[in-house]
Amino acid sequence: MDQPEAYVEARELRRYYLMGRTWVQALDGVSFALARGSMTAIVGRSGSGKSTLLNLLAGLDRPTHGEIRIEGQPLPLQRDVEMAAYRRRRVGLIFQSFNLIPQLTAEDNVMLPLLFDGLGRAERRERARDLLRRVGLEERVGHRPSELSGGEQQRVAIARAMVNRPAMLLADEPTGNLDSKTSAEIMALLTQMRHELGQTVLIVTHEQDIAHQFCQRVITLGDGRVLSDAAAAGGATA
Amino acid sequence: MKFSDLSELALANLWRQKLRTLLTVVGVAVGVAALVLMVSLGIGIKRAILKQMDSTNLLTEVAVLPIKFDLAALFRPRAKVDAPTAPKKITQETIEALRGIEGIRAVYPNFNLFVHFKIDETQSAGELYGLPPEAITEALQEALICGRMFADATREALVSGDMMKDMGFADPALVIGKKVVLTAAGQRGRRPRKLTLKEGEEPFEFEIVGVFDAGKYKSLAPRIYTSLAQGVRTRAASFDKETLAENPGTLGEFPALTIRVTDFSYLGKVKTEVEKLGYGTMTIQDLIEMVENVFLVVEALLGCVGGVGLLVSFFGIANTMLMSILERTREIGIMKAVGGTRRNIASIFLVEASAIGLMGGGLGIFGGWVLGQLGNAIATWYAHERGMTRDVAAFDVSLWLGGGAIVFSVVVSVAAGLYPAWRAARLDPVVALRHE
Repeated sequence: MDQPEAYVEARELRRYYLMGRTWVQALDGVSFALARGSMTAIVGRSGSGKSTLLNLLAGLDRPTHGEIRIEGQPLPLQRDVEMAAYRRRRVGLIFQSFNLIPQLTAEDNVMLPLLFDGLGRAERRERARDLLRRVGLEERVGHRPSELSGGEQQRVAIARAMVNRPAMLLADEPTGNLDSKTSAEIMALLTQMRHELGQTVLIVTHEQDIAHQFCQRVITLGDGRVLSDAAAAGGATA
Repeated sequence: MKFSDLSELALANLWRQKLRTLLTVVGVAVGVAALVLMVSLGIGIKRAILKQMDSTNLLTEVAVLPIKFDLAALFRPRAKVDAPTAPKKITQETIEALRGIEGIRAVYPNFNLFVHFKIDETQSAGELYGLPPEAITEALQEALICGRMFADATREALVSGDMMKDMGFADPALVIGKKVVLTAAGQRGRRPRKLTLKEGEEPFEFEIVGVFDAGKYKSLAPRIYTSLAQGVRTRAASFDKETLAENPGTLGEFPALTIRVTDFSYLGKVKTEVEKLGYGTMTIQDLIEMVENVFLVVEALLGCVGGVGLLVSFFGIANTMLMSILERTREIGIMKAVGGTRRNIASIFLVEASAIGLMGGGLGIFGGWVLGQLGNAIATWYAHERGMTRDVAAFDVSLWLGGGAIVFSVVVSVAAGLYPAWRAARLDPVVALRHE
């Protein structure tokens, strides 16, 4: 399903793991392309390979076969420095369990990617404050994750993912640890941020409601393959 | 990643685990303190020995020995040592021959005798030296507590104040005018022989004309100085019949000579000339070089002993860092996920390790210095208890040693952090993020 304006393209992605003595096929030839600025959901049962796919796109893992192209360029999978730069500047990651560093304040957590970029303290703080304001946490900059609610923690994580203004946002079950009301708020925030910053968003979820309500396109995975790839039933528009 | 940010992050991480950091730092400090103590002990003892030799009049002195042998070369690393030559006798003729050499101010026999003596009715023992006027140095003159120098060729003597104190004469002024009566005398290493007077010979009695401060003159052994003529006479009387029968020449031989050169610049030339005659020489420079070469080995050995402590610290740091990585696995995954490179991650842990080394090193040097000072104070107290007037500086912590210890401590810490840092850098982010 190639599109002319594809931002990211996955070609025949395969990822096999050796579990004990047997090979497990987590992904078994997955291909798709995501249009720039689109919001897509990947759904499927647990073990269908959605998280593996997300890790590959995030540059955290390497495919056994196949390749990933960003704006037509293959990912330099063998080079740590370039892959780190890719994770730092071109993708933002959001996790089910937030993955904030418990000892750091909300602000310091948001500043972390900028720290690795070698940015000065003043600019780091300014950008972190700006993002925390956008996610509605300007009052909580000095709080540690343990002092924040689940929804607030996920907002901090969204601010961290966006602080380097990446062109792509990858979210792995972003609402998995949240109640339904907060889930809706977080998804609304993601949608809003996408509108403001024009990012390509890919959300892995097992919640069909979320997928169809907030995304334009839903890709269903099963046993490491694409089972279906269709426009969302909820009819969310770009 | 900026170094300032890196350091700040590393310190914050160490602060998070205050107790563990403290224990590791103390471990390093103990190692560094042991190293500093050991090395400073070597340096201090060497200093003390060299200080004993540090006397300007010694700089113009050459000892003439019957055997030509480069003693200093024995301790010089990788030096070829020539076998000692057969001994060449030092006699009155030798003295005459040497007097002809340019740059020599005085030549006189260098010997001392072990003597038994009494002052009033108090018995004691000590060393007797016979000195010509040229051998009476400024240092000896300055060490005079009371009285005056003995006159040449007379039966006058100078005694050590400490020796007088040991014999019960607390006030040195009171011994002036008393007589030292020699009862027996002997060569070094031989039993003193009872002195008997020949027909018409002057008695072996010396009038004390002065008392010198042994500590100030840097000669702690109990000593009596008298004129060269009286020394030679006493020496002649100290040979027993057996020795003389075995070796009739002994009487006219001396174990060694001392040469005083007119100026320091003649030292090398005189040395060469004397060696041409077939005699061995020894100068204070030779001795200093020997001491320095010996202490090169001593310091290295002491350093190795002290280094064991730092080796233990090495494993302590490695253990702490590995524990820390285990605990922070998820955090490492997060840092990688948000774009930290392997290098960034490794740097964080290496900076943490070096910070431990720096803190431990600083604390260790301070601790070593304090213990060294304490040791010096105790040694000084002990020396004073025993009647010595000097302060003892057995531990010598120099700026150079302190700086070296810090650098060494940091190097050891970084080395200990290398493997843990490598482990952290190599963590698979997917696995690390799943880690609970």
